[in-house]
Amino acid sequence: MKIKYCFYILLSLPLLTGLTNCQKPIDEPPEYTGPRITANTSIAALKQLHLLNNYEKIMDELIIEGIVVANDLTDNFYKSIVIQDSTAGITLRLDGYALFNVYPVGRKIFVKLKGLWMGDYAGMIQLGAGVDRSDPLSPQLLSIPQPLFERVIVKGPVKQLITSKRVTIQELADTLQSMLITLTQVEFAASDTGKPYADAINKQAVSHTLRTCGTGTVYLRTGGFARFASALTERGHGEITGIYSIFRTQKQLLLRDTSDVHLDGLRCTQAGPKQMFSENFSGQQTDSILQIKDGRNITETGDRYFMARTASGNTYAEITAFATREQSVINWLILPRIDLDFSSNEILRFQTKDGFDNGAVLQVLYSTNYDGGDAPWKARWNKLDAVIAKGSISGYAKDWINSGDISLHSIRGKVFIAFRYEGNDPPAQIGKLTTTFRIDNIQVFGN
Amino acid sequence: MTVFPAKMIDGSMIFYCGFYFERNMFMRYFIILSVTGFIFPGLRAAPVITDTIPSAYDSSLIQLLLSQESAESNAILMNEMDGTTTAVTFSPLYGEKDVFLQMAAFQFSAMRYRYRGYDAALSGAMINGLVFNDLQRGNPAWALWSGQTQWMRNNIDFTANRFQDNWLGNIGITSSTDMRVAAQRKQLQWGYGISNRTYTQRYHFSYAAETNRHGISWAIAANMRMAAEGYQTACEYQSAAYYIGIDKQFQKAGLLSFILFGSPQLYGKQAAVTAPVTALLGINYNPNWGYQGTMKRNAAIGSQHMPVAILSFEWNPDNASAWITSLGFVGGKRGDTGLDWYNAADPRPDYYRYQPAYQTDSILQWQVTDALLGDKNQQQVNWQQLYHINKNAWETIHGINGTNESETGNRAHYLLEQRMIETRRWLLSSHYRARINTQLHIATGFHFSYQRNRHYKTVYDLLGADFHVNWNQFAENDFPSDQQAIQFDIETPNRILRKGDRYGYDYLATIVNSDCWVQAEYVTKRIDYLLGFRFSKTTYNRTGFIRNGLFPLDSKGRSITQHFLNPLLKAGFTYKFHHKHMLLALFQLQSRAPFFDDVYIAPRMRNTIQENPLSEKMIHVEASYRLMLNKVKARISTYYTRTRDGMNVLTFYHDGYRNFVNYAIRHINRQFAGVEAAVLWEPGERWELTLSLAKEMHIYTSRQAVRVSLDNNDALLDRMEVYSKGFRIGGSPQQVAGTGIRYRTPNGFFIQLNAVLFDDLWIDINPLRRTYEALEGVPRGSEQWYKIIGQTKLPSVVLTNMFLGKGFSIRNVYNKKPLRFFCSAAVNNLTNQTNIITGGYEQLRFDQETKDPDRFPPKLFYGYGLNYTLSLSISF
Repeated sequence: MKIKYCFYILLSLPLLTGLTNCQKPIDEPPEYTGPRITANTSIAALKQLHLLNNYEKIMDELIIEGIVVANDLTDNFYKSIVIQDSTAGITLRLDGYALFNVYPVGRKIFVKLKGLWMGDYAGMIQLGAGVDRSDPLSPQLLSIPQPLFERVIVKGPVKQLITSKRVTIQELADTLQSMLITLTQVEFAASDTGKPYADAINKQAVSHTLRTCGTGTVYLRTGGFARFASALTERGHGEITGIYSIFRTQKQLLLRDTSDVHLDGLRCTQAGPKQMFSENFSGQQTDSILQIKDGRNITETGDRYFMARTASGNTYAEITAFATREQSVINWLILPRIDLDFSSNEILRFQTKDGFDNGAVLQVLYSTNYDGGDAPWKARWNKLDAVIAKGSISGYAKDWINSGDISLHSIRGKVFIAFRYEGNDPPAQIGKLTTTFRIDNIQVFGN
Repeated sequence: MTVFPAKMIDGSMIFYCGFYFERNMFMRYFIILSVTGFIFPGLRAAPVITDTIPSAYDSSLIQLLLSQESAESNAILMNEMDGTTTAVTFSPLYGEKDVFLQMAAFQFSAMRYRYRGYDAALSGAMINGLVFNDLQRGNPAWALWSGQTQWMRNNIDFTANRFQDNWLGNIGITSSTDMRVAAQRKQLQWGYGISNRTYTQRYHFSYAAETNRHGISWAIAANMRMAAEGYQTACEYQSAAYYIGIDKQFQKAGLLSFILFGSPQLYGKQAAVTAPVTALLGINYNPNWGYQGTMKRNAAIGSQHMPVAILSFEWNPDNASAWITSLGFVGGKRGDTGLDWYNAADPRPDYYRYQPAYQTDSILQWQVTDALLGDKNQQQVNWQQLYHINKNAWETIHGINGTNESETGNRAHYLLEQRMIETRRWLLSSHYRARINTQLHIATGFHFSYQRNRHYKTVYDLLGADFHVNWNQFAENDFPSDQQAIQFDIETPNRILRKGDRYGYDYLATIVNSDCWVQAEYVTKRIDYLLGFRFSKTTYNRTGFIRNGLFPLDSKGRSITQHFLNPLLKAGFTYKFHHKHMLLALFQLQSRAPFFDDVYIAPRMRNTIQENPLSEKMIHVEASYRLMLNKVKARISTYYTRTRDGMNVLTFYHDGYRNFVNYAIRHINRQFAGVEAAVLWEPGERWELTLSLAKEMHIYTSRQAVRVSLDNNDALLDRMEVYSKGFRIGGSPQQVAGTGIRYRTPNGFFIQLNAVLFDDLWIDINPLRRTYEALEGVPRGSEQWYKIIGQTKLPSVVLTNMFLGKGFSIRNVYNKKPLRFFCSAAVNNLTNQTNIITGGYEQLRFDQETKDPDRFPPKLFYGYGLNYTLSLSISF
């Protein structure tokens, strides 16, 4: 009998050991590859079907396609997404939260329109699933219920290229409704600068006025639930990107996020901008070492200095490593300290010209911790993005190159701006970096 | 397979041994060796011994099988219990000789009948003299021995009016089991069963050896139950049970025993579903699962393994006394998975906003209905969508762990969390019992138990994402610009979480409970007296391991320790009119310490407790009349129990405050009253008729006091009264009636039919709806008024069950020992009613705006339709 017992025990053993192995590896589904569907009408053509203050049920098998240009990522668009194609844009009312997960900006989607309703909210054309006429005086478009998303919307590929149309306030037209636009040459009205975008505490929407040098008006409207509601409006002038919207006759811009705001230029003012620094080297003695009042001209290595030179009656600064026979030539031309605390929208401008360019580098840097001493290289410097002349391999460039408007708007406090030259002139014939750079008309403006 | 000698029974027995694949069960193609068929072509040739099963053994076997059945249905209830937020409890009553308790255990349990409506914590579960009620919640720890019923047959149920020789129990039933080898039948048993309930197949094996000449005996046993998909959709089930025991009998009247057992298990869960959703998607609808590829994946998986080891020593100084000391240890983990999400739409398919009823427009209602019915992915968890979102969630997190480092990748918007409880528990008990003389019996002893439950959650599956961040989403909504508040752990802010990492909360509940007791029974010719006294002490505290950003001062470290002293006094007598009929009466007075979970308001976050926690006081009286004739056995009992100062904590999303709130409830008074009656009549050797009835009334008798605070904020929001007086205590049917008939033949065949009626089945009340605030603006006495405060009564149910079996023996020619076979079939719900509601709970939500209680209807559990178990066992 004993052997039989052993058999039974053996029989039961796998029953036990089996359980040690019971965690399942879970099979992950493959990534979504895209739909098999094509649009048969455009958004502009669809919107043609709409009569103002009316509600139309779409009875035909119409399909539009569009790229998502705005969603509820920052909660400024609540329960809606905005799509656009090359012709126009339209708002889709979707009754769900966290729509950005499924409809991220840049995703192409197809909307099967049959059975949907089109209506407008104070002129703003929207797509919904029905009409609530419980209050006959003001019927409301009903959002598309979440369980119907998959039926109505076919998801296409993500990360599609979006272009925002660049327009001025004067060029705004109704055809741009629900499209992503970039308003150029705008700034907030003076009384609306430095204010929160919306009332985050009471969750109230707020409109701020955008203008172009005193003309035209667009309201930047932000909801109280927007995540950036408590951020402050910019003081400068420039471009701002958002969704164009209307409320009756009022033109509105709805912001997706504050990263779409690029208002760091000089404001339009009647008195014009304030000049905070200017140097055109006209007071310098030609062919001598440059000396700027309260500024510095320092050699780090290579025994060279920025020199004052004159051509056609114009004096400018010049530096070159040519004929130094040094392994490394590094020079600093440091402007006097500029206090940015009492101004805004500061801009740096200058001009450069290169000669016999073979790769030496001229950089524009700023530092807030430089002490004004003899060793600027010990301070922390950050590079500014400027257009610097280059590419004049034989001889000198004919024209001065403008640096562009370099914004100092984001810098606070007392700042030093420096031109740093780095080149060399080794005895060997190859690997020389001896480009000559000329600098002139350095200006800093601010409001 | 040649090990099995064909000559075993005259060469007439052919075993078909097959390799059985359960692919979905164990992904590694675990091979289950199963004996799937027994063929007895030469049965007539073999000497069948028909009278070897004495009728006593037969009924105890039936008993055992029945208890196994009920243990399984309790496993189902336990399974479902996780889905509920209210304290739905169950009470597996291993009825012994009492007709009513037998009926309660084997027939009433299908509808969650609880003995006298008491919460499970008032019943006790003991093994080898140790009390195995979980100290944190008080419930008997049934899951520890799931599947072990085969070797737990030596079991006595002590009702409160009985002299209990190893403890002094509460007013419920104390079920005491002896699992030592000495209590095991010395045999080898092998069994196989199939079923359509939680499992589809069951195997068991047990062997207990005879005591050898050194006084050592040993036993081993194993059991296994499994289903790739049980009765409920996408509910897999894998459960094993093992048992090892060894006894050493000393010559000088001592018995040293050691047992080790455990029940590793893993199962998918069924969620409770509202009636409108069931009406739309069918009675078998389970929102917990969804298709991942072609596989049904369940998001709610429970798993547990907590082995138990007990060392006992019994010393018998003489025949009339015994001193038993036991030391036990329980250690292991329990985990429950569930969906968690961050900044994303609710992934639960039965979320109320996804239902047709949420739409106000009738056309949209119809469209949503159509969309739901037409797309399985919308009815169920849409795993594909969750993975898709997670794989396109590119984000950079800065300042990881408070450093300058950053992490870029796909941040999880959806993930599976696993809520873990890691338990370490030591138990020690010693008791002495003696018959001083023929009249006086005494028993006394003490218990000590120390339990540490560590609670935390881990990232179980990132669902295709690269990482998750340890942030508190709800704090993020409340304090959008507060960088500290959103940190679950401010000591390592912005922690990046990968699979298996702990996150969210991490705390330890340390609970110590000890008691000493004494009990005496004095027997005289007419009257027996029973007197008992118990004194217990409970202490506990919470230790937080992380410093939560919302409660930096109150979350980490050890809390103040709570102490409770609780006496119990029991006095009873039995008046014997005659030795065949008698009257029993009992009076019991006791208090009970509040449980950890009812005192700590938000233990996952902080150390805050209810103001002035109080022990619950109970007073209990009962009287019974018993009749024990040869052919008729009957009992009629009536009881009355009052409790006061109960406590409870509820945490839920409050639509009015738009946030998670904690309802710290106190001053819960209850009353349990009822009559139980049972008759058993044996008109002849072969027939047995039973009838059991209970008519009960379990109600709340006070207005409960609630202190409302936000989960994210310690400040008191509101104090309110819950107008709960007179409402029924839900969960257990308060009116039951069962009849049974059993026919048995001397040659080992029996058949039993039962019909059971359940009525007065109420759903427990949600305090939210019975407050002044909920009724503000609703005209008093209007239809809506009564709809809001009204309590839901579930439809009454009549169930019919059948149980039949046949036992026989074959003399084994090899050693002349009998080889006993037993096959049985249990078929429940013969009429195949699929829409039986076994219970449910009111959602802890109420729409304060519309005041419409139907917006969040109660969630319900449905019973099984026709269900069966077929089993076969062999022992020799």
